[in-house]
Amino acid sequence: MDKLSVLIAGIGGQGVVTAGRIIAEAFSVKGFKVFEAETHGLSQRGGAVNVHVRIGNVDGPLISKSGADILIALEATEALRNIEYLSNHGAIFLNASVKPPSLPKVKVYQLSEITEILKRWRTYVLDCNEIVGETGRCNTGILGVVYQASFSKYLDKDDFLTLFKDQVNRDSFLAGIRYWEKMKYLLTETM
Amino acid sequence: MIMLVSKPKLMLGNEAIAYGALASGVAIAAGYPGTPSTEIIETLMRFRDVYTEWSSNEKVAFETGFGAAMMGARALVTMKHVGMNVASDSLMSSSYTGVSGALVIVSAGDPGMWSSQSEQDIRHYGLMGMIPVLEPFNPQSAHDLTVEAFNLSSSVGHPVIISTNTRISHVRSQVNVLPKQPPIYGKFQKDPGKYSLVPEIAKRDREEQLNRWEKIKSLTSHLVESHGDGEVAILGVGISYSYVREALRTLNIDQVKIVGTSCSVPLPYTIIDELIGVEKVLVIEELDPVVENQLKALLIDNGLHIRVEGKNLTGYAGEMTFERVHRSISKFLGVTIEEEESPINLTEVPRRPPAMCPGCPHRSSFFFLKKGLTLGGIQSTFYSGDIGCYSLGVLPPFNEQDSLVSMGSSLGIANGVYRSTHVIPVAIIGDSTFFHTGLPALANAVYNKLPVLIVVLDNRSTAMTGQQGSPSLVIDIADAAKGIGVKYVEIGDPFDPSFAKTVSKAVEWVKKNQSPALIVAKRACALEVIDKVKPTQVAFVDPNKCTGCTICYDYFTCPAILKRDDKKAIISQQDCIGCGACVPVCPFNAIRLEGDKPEGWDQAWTS
Repeated sequence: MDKLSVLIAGIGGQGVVTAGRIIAEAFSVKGFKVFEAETHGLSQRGGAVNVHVRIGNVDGPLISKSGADILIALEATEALRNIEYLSNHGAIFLNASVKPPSLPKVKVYQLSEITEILKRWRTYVLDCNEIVGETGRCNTGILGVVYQASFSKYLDKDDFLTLFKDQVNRDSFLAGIRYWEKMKYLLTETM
Repeated sequence: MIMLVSKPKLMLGNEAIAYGALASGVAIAAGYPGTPSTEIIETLMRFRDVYTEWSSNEKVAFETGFGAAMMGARALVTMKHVGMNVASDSLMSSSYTGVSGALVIVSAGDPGMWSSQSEQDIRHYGLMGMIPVLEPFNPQSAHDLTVEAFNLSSSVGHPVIISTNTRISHVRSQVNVLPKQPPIYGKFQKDPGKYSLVPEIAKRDREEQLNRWEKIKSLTSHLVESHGDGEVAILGVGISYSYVREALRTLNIDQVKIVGTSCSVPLPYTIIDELIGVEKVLVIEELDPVVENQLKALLIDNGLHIRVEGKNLTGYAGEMTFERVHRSISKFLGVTIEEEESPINLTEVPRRPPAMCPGCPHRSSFFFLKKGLTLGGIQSTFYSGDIGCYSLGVLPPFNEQDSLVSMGSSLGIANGVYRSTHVIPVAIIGDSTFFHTGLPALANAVYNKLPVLIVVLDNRSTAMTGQQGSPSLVIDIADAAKGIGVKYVEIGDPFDPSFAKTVSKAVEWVKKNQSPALIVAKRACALEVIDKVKPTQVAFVDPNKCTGCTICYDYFTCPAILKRDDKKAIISQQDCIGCGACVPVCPFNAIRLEGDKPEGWDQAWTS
C-alpha cells in the first residue's frame, strides 16, 4: 500500500472523531504513518463533521478532492455533503439513517434519493440494527464491516479489538465482520 | 545528548506541544480556552508539578507567564489566534523588556474559520513586535519546535511565538516525545530598570530589543531545509511545506527545488543560500504574504533578481489544501495538472450548522427572551451578541444575535447602537465572556447610563471549548453587577416560563429609568449535567393532544424533537436527555416527562 485515505462523515455527537481515532490508532500500532485531522469546538455540536484519516506515504493531513478511497457516512445526508472527496474508484459505507438538521422548515433528502445519487459509486447501504441488533453500537458495527471489507488486508482484527474499552464495542465490531462475510456478495450486487 | 523515551505515540499536535514544553522544563502555564488551542493546557494539567491555570482572559494569561518569566521561570501561554489581540498590549511591551527565564506563547490559528470569527494572521504580531514566530509543519515538528522555542527564548531572554493552526493542533499523528525535565521555577528578583517601561527605561530597552533581534536572526538561521535541485524552487512555510512535499511526489514533478522553513518571522537569511542559481520561486504559505514579503525584501537587500510568486497564485482565504497547492504549482510551472471535476452538483444538500444541544439552557433563554420582550412592549430591538455556544442564537428560528464581533463586544456595540438610534438594545453575554472582557464595558454602561437590557447566560462553564471552569463558579454575577453599580439585577431560570415575565419587568424598568438592567439566566450546561448524573427520565409527546402546531420543532428546535409525517411531534428517545425544557413550550400540554428523576439531578442543573 502506498497510501490510503478514509473520510468519515457524520453529525457532531455521533462518534465521528472517535471512529477516526480508532482507525488511526489501529494503523499506527501496525507501524503505518498516519495523520488524522479532526475539528473540535463549535463545529461539533450537532453540526456536520468530518474526519480525514490518511495512512502510509503521506505528508498532508487533509484528503484532496476526489482523493478518498473510502467514505464512511454515519448519517446518509452527510455522504452527499462530502462526496466530492471520494475518488471515482472509491467505496461508500452508508449508514441507512437520515437525520434532519435542527433548523426549521428545511427540505430533507429521503434515503432513496440519496442512494440514487450515489449509485455511480460502489455503495454499501448498511442497516445498523440488522448488523448489531438493539443492544449493539451502530458505529462500531459499521467499523467492523469496513475492517472486513478493506482494512483486513493490512491489519488483524485484534489491532482493533484491543482498542475498545468495553465488550459492547468489541461485540459490535465482530458483528460487523460477520455481517460483511455473510452479505458481501449481496451488498455488492446492489451497487 | 537527549534520548528518546519511547516509541512514537499517536497524539494531537496540541499534546505534542504540551510534551515539548514539559521537555523544556515548563513550570508555569496559563491560557484562556479557545479552539483550536485548548488541549495544550488540558494536557499540562495532568502534571502536578507544573502550575497551570485557565485565566480570565488572554491578557491576564499572558501577564501571568510574563511575570513568571521576569522571575526566571520557564512559562508557556496559550490562546487562539484572536486571543492575541486581547494579550497584545502587554505582548508588545514584553519584546521591549525581554525576560529573565523563558516565555513561549502558543497562538493557535484557524484558517478556514472552523470555529472562529476571523482567520487573522497572527504572524504580523511577530513583525510588529520583533518577536520570532515559529511555525510547525506537523505534530512532530510542533513538539520539536516547542523545545526550540524555549531554548531560543531562554538563550536570548526574549518572548517567542509558536503559530500553529487547526491542522496541526487537531491532527493526530505519531510523535517521538523527549523526556520531561523538572520544572524550572523562578527565584524572587527585581529589575525595575528593565521591566518598568517609563520613557527613560523604554528608550534603553528599545535599543536592547534591537540588539536581541540581531541575535535572534542568527539563532534562527538553521530553520531552513531543502530537497532536490532545479532552476525553479517552491518554498513551503509551516504546514504548507507538508502539502508541497507530498504534492510534488504524487505529481512526479522533479527538477524543482523544495525549500521549507519553520521560522516565518524573521525569515532566516540563510534562505538566500538555497536560492542562489534559482530563476523563480513560489512561496506557499497560509493566510497573508508574511514570508513572501520578507523574502522579496531579502532578495533586494542581497541584489538578487529572482522572480517571486505567492499570494497571486495561491490566494489568501481559507486553509491550505492539496487543491490550492496543485493549482498554484500548475500555474507556476505552466504544467497541466488534471483536476477531477466535482462529480455531482449538490447545491441542495441542506445546511447542517451546529445546534444547541438537547437540554441546552440557552435555547430556552432565547425562546423566553423573545416572548418577554414582546410582553414588555418591545417589538423590535438590536440583539447585541457575543462569543460562546449562544452565538448559535444567530440561527433561525431565534435570530437573536444581530452582531457578534469579538469577546465581550456585546455591551460596547450596544452602547454605539443606542447612542446613534435611541433604540434600547439587548446585550447577550455568557458567564465566561462576562468576566473575560465584559466587565469594563459594564462599568462603562453604568458610568455613561446606557439604557440596555443585559442578559448574562450563565451556564456555569466555558462550554463551547469543552466545559472548562469560569470565574462564575466562585464569583456571583448578580453580586458583581450590583457591585459595579447596576441598579436592577435579577436572576431567572430559563427553563421556567416565568423567565419571560422577568424579562418584561426588566425592560419596563430600563424604559422608565433609562439605565442598564441585568438578568442572569442561570442553569448549567446540559453536557456537564449528563456527565455528572445519568438521565433516567425521558419526554414523550401524547399524539392525541398534539395538534401539529409546529411550535416545538420549528420554534424551539430541540434536536430531540422530530416532525412526524402527519406534522405531529415525536421525541427521539435516543437524543432526549429528559431535561423537561420542552414541557412548558407546548401550548396544548402534549409533552410530559416519564420516569423517575435521578438523584442529584436538580442540583446538577442549578449548582
